[in-house]
Amino acid sequence: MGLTSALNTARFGIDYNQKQIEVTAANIANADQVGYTAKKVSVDVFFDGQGNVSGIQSTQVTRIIDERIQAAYFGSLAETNYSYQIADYTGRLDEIIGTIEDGSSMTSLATEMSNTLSSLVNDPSSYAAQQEVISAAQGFARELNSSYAEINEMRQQADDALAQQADKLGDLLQSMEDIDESLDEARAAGLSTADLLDERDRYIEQLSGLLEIKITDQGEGNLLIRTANGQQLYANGKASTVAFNSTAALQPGKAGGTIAVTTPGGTTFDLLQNIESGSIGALAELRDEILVEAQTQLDTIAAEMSLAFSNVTVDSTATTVGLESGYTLDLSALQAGNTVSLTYQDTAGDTHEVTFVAVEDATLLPLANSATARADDTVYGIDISSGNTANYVTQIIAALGGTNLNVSDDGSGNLQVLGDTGTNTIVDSLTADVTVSSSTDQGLGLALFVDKTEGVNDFTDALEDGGQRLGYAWGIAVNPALVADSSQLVNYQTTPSVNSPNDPARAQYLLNALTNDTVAFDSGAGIGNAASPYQGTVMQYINQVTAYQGNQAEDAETYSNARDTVTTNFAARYEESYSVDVDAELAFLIELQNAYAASARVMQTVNELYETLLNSI
Amino acid sequence: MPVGSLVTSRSYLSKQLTSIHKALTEKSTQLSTGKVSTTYGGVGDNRLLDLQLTQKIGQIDSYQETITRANLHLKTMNLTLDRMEGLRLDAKSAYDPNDFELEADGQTQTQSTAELLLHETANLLNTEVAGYYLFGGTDTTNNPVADIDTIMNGSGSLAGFRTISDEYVQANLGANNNGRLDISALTTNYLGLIPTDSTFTIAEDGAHDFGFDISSVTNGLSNTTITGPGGGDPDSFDVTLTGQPVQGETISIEFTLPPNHTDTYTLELTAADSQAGENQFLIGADLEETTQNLRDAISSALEEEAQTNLKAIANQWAADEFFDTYNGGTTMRVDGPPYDTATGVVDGSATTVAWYTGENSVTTNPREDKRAVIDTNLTLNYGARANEQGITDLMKSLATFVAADFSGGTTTDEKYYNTLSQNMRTVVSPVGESQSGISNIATDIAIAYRTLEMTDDRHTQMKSSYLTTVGEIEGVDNDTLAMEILQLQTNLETSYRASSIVFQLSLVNYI
Repeated sequence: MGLTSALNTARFGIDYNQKQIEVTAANIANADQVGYTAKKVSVDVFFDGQGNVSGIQSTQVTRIIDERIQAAYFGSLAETNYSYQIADYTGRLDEIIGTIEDGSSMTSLATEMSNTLSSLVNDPSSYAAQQEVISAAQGFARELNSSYAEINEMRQQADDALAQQADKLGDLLQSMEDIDESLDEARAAGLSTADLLDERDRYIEQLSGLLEIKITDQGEGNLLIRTANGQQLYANGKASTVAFNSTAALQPGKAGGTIAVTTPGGTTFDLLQNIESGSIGALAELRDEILVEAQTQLDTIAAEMSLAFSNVTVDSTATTVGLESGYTLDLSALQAGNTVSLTYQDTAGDTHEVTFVAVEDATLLPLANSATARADDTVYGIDISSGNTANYVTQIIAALGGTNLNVSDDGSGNLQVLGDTGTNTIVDSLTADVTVSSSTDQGLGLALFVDKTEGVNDFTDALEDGGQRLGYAWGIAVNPALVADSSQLVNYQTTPSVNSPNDPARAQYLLNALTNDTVAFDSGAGIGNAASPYQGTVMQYINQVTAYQGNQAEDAETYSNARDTVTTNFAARYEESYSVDVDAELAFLIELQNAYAASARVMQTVNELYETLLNSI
Repeated sequence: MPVGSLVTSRSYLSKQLTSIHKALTEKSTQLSTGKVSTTYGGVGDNRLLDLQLTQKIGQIDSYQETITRANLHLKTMNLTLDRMEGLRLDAKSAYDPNDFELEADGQTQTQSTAELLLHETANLLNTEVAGYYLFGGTDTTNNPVADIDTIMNGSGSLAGFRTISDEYVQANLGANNNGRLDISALTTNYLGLIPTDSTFTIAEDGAHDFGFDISSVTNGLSNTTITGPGGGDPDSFDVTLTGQPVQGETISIEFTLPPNHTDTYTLELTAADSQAGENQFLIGADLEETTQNLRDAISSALEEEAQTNLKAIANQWAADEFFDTYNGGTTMRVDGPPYDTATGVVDGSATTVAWYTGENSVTTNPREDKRAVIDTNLTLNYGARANEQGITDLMKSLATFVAADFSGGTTTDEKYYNTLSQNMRTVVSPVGESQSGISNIATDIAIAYRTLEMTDDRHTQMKSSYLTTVGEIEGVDNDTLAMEILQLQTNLETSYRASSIVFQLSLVNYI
């Protein structure tokens, strides 16, 4: 080993030190940058035959990263963002529907309605008492309108956010493509790829928050990114394109626009159908399910509240023909959506409930049993577009053809249903539930609310055009005729004589309708289920809805907090695994400084030795 | 939802600090509002119970408002009905058959008392509490009972009670003042100058319900033949004497009395051979004279009965027609003029004063005219109509008694007075009924009042227990909260301090 060799070795040392100092300096400088992984430089040392260092190559800058923790963290992000998004929106829903001690909340206003009605029972002729009822009803209708509108506004916001996130998704995939290109170039040029990989990880982190993705390394730095159920988002360095058009106006009960993803190969798929998590999944679920369900609940409240007041029972007359006894019912008051209920016992003594639902549009027929909220009935639709009750009876005769009941037209277009002594079939009851079309002489019911969705219409719960109750909470309003003449709350009869202006009968009827009459509520609104729908009064149902939304918000909040904790833990571990330890770097720097000084000293010593050697010659 | 807000690992430390800070803010809010949350989402699993109880509390508030009003109504009704029952008892004492004392104005003292009672009754029936007339059914805008002067004397073209009563008296007494009967003169046959037989006929003056109706004749007189009555309408019978009856023998004639002709009046005459007293006829010198005496005795007995008992009956008939209007009943008036030959009645509703002007539609229970909803399933009914039977009876008897004219002061008037007072006593205190109609109403009202008070108490208790539960669900325990806040504050300060130390501990500061 000669002096030259020592000098070389020192020079290589200094070279390597320089490199290390550079990297360390970069580490320290970027210590606070998000996603910057600590780098280290590795070196290849070459020796000659005598064991002397003949050269070093120190271009390899590598990242320090624990990929297992990284994967767990990214995987956790989607669910966290999903739960956060859901909690945010359901919390707002809860604020709209269930604010405590809020005089304008639905529960308060419903209580207010029952209170004003009970005052009216005590003093029916009082103009003030009548106005109180109307004003409470208006308050209630407006609360439904505005809650519905607010929820629709939230749907629109979710839609807008979806649009932004779809853009973001497209941009991120495009950026991935760009960075992969740069990576290829860097690799080709033999440059360090560590910083580019850091950048690519940042993109993946953001992608993971948007939706649940599966990342597969295809080798040579190529990534395959797919949705949770395998649809391709990114492959072979090529991004799929993402297209989303905001829904201009979100229709009641209808899903909004979808996100179309087209792979480089040209296949297009609907992203929303293929994801369940991430903030995009949450927004889609909110827009098309959770918020729609809340709206359906409002619609149900509006519909049942409206029907409770406006519908009256038409009783049948007991009839006996020969040996057979049963009932005769006048069908003339039936409107679309109104029902005729028949209860009978068959030969075996089993009780059967049959409901006939009136429809104007014959194309809706036949109706499924789910057309009514009740679970225990068989449903038949009857087309009432002819306006001829004899025609309705004909349809009912056909529907009941398989039973032993003697169903017929009594000759005046009335429905006559008689039992059959031969087979011991007994008719228990036959009634119709109809919506009043006038404020007087149709019983005690009153159309307190009307449907103002398009013009002013009676609300009959018609099934046409997707159902009148769809979006009814938006269109419910107090009957303008009632606002103009509040005495309709009391005057229910003009023939044979006008009832007393102080007759409490109608007020009592309306109060009972609100607080005592139980009905089955459509399970489609998320409360109860089809086999055992929620049964209760309208007031109770409103409480149920408020509690349901509160419960949903609390669950979402709890879940979100739990997810947040998990993700924060992952985040901490992840950060610890890659972050720059400034202390360590500084300590290392001192080490390098010493090493450098030592190498320099070697060079100086070699230099002195040379000088001594040269001077001695 | 901007993507920029994605949680990044770098911020986890400060995030933990923020979350403590957020918890602290939340607790402070709870401390200031006293509520665990502002929405039902935050009150925990009891939120449905909380909602239901809050709703109940709201309803109880409204029930209690109703109770306050109904309470006032019921209290007043109780007082009024109490006084009315007192009036009924006073009226009963006023109808004293033994107290016929005429005053200067032609009224008896008892009539003057009755008139005062009548005014007071009408006044009580018109009691109004803050716009609600207690005895008008559902009608709460007008006095349910007309003023006494109108009731008695009519108004404009509408006839009052005195007129109606007078018409019924005329129709029942007839032109002969003997209960619508015709008593013929004698038809006597002679053998020379000696009468062989003598006959007179008593006949009803037409087919109608007014006056006496001949029912049967029981003859105990010798030498006397009765022909008839045949049972038709109009009915009649002949009395023929073919010789002299023997002293002490009797003849009795039975009449049925209007309006139903179920009650009877039996006229029994005894043959007397000297001085004929009451219900006796004198056996004359010959059979013709005896027959004449018998005829006259019958005639005057009938006239007296007509002007006392029958007149009282006619008064009461008129009163029933005039006052019994409950459930839409109409006043039937004598078809006339002339009234003394009238044979029927006509609907007088268009020509007669209505004494009761409140709600009078058909009802099965007048209590339902006024309702107060005082609990979810409890509706109190406390309506009343002034023309309900008990009250009507009081008004009717007082008015009949006041309208009667005893001013002649004769024995007949006194007898009439006696009969009428007796009858009116029966009206206000019907035989066989232990409790008066007014007491029945008062009992209903008293029960309603009791229910009301008990419900009110129950509401107060329930509300307080509901409020406690709601407080437990929605509220926060201030002591616990204060502790929590203190702890959070300590945690937060410690964390700040620790973080600061951690950030300070960098080699940067030491080289």
